[in-house]
Amino acid sequence: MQKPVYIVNDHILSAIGTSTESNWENVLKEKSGISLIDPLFPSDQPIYGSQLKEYEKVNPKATKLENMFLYSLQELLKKTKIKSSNERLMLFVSTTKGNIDLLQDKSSNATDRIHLAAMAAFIQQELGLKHSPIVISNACISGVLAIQTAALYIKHGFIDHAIVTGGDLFSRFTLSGFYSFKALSAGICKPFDKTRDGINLGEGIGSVLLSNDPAVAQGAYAIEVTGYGSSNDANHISGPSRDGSGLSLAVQKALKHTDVKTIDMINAHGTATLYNDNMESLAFQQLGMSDVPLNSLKGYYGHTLGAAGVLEVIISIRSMLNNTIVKSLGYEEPGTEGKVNVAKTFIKKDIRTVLKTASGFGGCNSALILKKG
Amino acid sequence: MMKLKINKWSAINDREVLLNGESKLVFDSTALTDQKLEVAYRALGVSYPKFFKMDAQSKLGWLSAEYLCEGGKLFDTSASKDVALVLSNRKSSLDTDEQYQQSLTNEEEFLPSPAVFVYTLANIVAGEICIRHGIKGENNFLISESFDAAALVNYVTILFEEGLCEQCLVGWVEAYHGTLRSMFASIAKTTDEKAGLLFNIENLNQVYQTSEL
Repeated sequence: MQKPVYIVNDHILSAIGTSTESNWENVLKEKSGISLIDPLFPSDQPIYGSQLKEYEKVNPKATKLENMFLYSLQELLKKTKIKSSNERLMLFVSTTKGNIDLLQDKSSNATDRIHLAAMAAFIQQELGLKHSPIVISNACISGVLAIQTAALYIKHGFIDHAIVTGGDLFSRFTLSGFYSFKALSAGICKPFDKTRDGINLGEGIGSVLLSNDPAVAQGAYAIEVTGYGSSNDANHISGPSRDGSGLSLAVQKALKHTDVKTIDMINAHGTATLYNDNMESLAFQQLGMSDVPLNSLKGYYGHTLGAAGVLEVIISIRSMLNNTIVKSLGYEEPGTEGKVNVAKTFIKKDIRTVLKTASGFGGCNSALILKKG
Repeated sequence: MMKLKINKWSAINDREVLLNGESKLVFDSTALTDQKLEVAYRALGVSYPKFFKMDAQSKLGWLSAEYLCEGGKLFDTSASKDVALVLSNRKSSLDTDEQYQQSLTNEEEFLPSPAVFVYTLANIVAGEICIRHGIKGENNFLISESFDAAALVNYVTILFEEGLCEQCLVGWVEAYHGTLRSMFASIAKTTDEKAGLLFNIENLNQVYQTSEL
């Protein structure tokens, strides 16, 4: 007998807060974590991004990213009755580049932890978790895919509880790469807007606790994960499919047990590149979701890569708990081929069912359905 | 009760290319990695110019899939949305990461290459294989300290049980500092337990070890 799987607690560490509560408050105040930053390389344009400011460094042996993970995970563990030593608990780590700064910093004594699994094992040991973590590195869909993977592990009885944590650094490595692709915005990004001109990168951590028993987990809430699916465009490694058909496939799988008419809100990927947002608009139109209120949170956080999917799921859960669709920051005028209903303001509405999507390099797409009990 | 079997498997290491345990090609032991990859490509007799734009790891994965299908189709493409691709390795894309990092060292001639940067993600090899074989189903890339048959078998079995896939390509692919190591297996449902190799942790480990140098 397969039990339902719920997300029951969470934590966010980002440029706009060191707790989920402070993040939510700042989102409601339309505060963006994105600002003009000191250039990390010779650049012919100003560089905007979202960088972490203050947070408590937990461990002197840990790298910057590991400290970020440890901080977020310890804050999450404080909020639950489940002990880190629980035999039925497993950690799932989502990251695209992990400790990528170690490639530049040869003086570090943590050089082996350039390997993502070694980094995850270090985190596991520091927290005293029993099982080896599962590490998922699948470009920008890693976070959403890690939640899917963890939920399926619980549903199929391998474990009862899971922590999914996603994180990446704001690094010279990644920044220069997106710069070389001419994909960086000249200002603060404007997802789905007519004048959007590219992405901002960001850093942070999003962590969620999943469980088949919200009571045991002493959940702050119980949001059921009822649908999931991923896909590949089989089209291009660095650009999204033009027609959105790949993303549609992932969403259709996620909607297996859900009537599309019941979706109250879409939290899109919305990176604010011309092609990504256009592709998404066509997918949602194909799926008959043109009128469903939609937002992208990239205007608040930038693109936090491995953290993005998890962090954005957490804010979407706050939306469900507070019946408030978050304004899609940076959006003013429609500018996509497909018709989408982008939230220009905060919208009060009973939100029972949410679709979360992500798409990334390598042609990958993923989708989750979240339901309020 | 649904059972899964390993239909076929291919492997490439620094010495040879294997298909179901049988040697298909033995490399010149003095050849460099790039030469080995090119020799393996030429031996297939197919034309795929994009191959030459790929990094070593993507070439390796692409070749492994190609040898697995023996010049035919890997899957019935009408069912391409039901084919999953679940890959794994230890180094992620570190080989190309290091190469890309090198290009960032000179501040005076700061010219990072998008063509190199795009390969600095583990799952790009999966993207290349999906493009070649029209695979549109589930994708996942798991990073582990060593070959983790349990993680792969567990996740792939779940995908079948959930109806998230009808067929699957699962494996390990890693090219790092001139060392090549891949093992791909195609997985399908079976009703005949005695037919072929059952897809379980023991057998997947066995296949991986068989294909070791």
